[in-house]
Amino acid sequence: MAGVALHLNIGRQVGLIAGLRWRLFVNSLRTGQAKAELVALIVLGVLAAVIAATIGLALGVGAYLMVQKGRPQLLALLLWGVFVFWNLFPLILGAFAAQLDIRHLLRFPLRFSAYYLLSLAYGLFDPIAVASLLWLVCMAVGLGRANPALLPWAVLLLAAFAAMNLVLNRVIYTWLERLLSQRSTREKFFVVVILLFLLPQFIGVAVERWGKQAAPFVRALEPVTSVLPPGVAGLGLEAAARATPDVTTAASGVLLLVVYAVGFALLLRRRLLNQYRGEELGESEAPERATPQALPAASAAPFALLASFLPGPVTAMLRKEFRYMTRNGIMWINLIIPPVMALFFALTWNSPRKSSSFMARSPELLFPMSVIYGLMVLTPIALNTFAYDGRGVLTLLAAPVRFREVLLGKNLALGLAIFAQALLIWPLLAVLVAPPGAAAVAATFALLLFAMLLNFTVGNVLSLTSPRGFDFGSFRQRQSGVTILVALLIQIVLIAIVGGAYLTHRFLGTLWIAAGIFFGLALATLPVYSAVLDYCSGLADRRRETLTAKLCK
Amino acid sequence: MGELAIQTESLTRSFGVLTAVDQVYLTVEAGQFFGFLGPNGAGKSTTIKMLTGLLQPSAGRIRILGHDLEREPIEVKRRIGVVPEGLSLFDRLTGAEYLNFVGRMYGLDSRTAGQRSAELLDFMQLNDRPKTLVADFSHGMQKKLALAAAVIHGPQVLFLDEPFEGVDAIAAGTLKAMLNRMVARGVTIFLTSHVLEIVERLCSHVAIIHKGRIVAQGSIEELRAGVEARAASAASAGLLAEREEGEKLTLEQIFLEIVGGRREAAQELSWLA
Repeated sequence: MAGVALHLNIGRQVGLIAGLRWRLFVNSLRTGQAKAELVALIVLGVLAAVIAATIGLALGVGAYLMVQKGRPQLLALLLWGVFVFWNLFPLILGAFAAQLDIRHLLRFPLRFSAYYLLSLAYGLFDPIAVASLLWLVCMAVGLGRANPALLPWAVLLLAAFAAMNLVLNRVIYTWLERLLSQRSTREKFFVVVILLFLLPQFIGVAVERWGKQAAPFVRALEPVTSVLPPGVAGLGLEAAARATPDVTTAASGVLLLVVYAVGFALLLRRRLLNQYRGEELGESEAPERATPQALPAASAAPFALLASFLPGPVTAMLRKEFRYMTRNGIMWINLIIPPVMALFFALTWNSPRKSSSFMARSPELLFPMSVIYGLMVLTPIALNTFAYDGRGVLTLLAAPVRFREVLLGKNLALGLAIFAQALLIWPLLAVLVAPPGAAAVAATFALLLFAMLLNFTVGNVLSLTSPRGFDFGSFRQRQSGVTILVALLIQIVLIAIVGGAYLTHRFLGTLWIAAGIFFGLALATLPVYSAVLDYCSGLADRRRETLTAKLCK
Repeated sequence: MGELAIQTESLTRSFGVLTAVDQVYLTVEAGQFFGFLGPNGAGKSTTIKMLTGLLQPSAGRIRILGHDLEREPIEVKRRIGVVPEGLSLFDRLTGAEYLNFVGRMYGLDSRTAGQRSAELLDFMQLNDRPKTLVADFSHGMQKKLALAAAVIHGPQVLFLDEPFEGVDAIAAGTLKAMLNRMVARGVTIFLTSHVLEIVERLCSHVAIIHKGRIVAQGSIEELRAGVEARAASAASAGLLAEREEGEKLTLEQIFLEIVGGRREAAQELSWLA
């Protein structure tokens, strides 16, 4: 066929793709909201640039002072900072956001060399890479100012270090991309990253308790860290900064960094070559025929009791909700965080420096506080209860059930989870601190009941009027503005009520009055909750289009 | 005329200024295998969503098996099964768990729901991965599961929006046999499909919707006779000339004639060999 055998050089291919990206960007600005987002992006970009420049200045001055003050061995610390930021920060972003995928370009007659270059280019123009490069330049300037003779070595070592980081970053990204292409892995990875975010909260407590014992282990790691890229670059700079530069060590550093870069480049080549050859990273399993197996027996036992007095559809919803909870990474996090925080509160309470803390003055509030924390984490789920149902909401709309039953099943499932969490926190605190008193337990569970009924009452209406669909294993998802506002109002109301109860406790010295107040409020909310459930049946019918439109995207 | 399974009167649905379905009058007798056809954007899916209670009509009435959908939605939903466009699955359940759930939501007791789930999974050849979540099913497997869920409660009327899309030939054959058996037992099936050969082979009656309006309705024979009569006139003489002597007009030819989608044979792209 005429016109098919067109051969484009690499530069032209890369140019075409740059043009494509530009066209996509321009086309994405057609709506007013997109333009507003661009403005926000520019503002954020300027802010990020200022922050990056400030850090760069600090690194430059730091490098200058380290050489000036005769402590060049500390330069490796700065390089470790850049290394971690450049290579680990994108790792965290990878769990949260959809990354740019250049594999879709493979449908075109793109040469492998162009594909490889494009992959590196995407890595080079990444804001994190740009910031990291800026910081290395700042360091080079600082080193040059401190000792002009050091500048050529600094440029060589830092350039090799930058090249190594650029390639390593792409290796990490492409392997991460492969790892996260599978739904289950992506979700597990996401959970691990969230849990890693929680770790810093414990670092202070851990250092305070075990810091001295850990010091020898940290020092034992030094030989290992010195052969890793930041250590190599640091040693090279240190050697070059001496009064009589150790040229052999500095040159070995450059050489070793180049070897690292080449090694990573070969790894990247292997990964990209697989992509280039048409690697399939699909979500679904290969359609091979497996042997038919007996279906696993339905685990009806835990539900048998509930099923005996609940209508069938409510039991079905309850069971489905529990299954969804156990298969939702975010839900696992929500369930794990409160007991972890209770542990944190308990450790803080047991801390040697506890004497002035609020908790030390009111130990009986440790249990209510931990449970309320759990409540605050879990109740927002009730405000957008169909978030994870996705297209499944059509099954609910098509089924011959009233939404009263659907929502009752959902509320029961979440309520039981919150209740179970409180029951889990109780023994934790009983072992680590002291068993909470009867009044504290009664007040806590009465408050729990009231807060749940209040949240469910409001949440059931909000879930039907302002629904938002969420994806499993994805973080950047927001509730609707109305839901956020109402959630805030509910929390303010609850805090005001809890504050009032705390004051009565302080003045009267008993929590039994608070327990009575909370129980009374729960009893008063119950008929309202029931009436709202009935109202929601009609509301769901009227709002079915909104539900479909928002959840079935 | 026998008992009516589906009846609409002046059914209308507007989205802002666009009237997607405009005063549709449909009558489908009980036990019919009914094909609902139309070009892209004609209003097929909007109509099927309204008939199954997933979308509120702007105006008009819908009666399913004698029950008014607006007044007795639960009674109607109890008697119908639906495979909507784009499916409607809870993707964090396994196939068995999903079917059990749907069975319970349609009022089956736990034991019956379990038994029927197992039978349906076996029938649909979905029982080889009992622990696999629906999210990890291929599109064809999801389609089969959606069909299984639509029939688990033994509906009297079954609404299927593009049921064969993405289903392999073997599974499609199984499904067609199942649907034919259901019709033989008196179930009414209302089906939309772009594959006119399938509709022609399965359906006894069809309606064609175009730009939101019903432009033809009846048995395939009645539609054929109507088109032939029209083609006999000077305006469409070309259509009769195209076919062999004694050859019947296919549903595709009838459809194209009715919606006016015939392309000039001479029209071609000059640079294609």
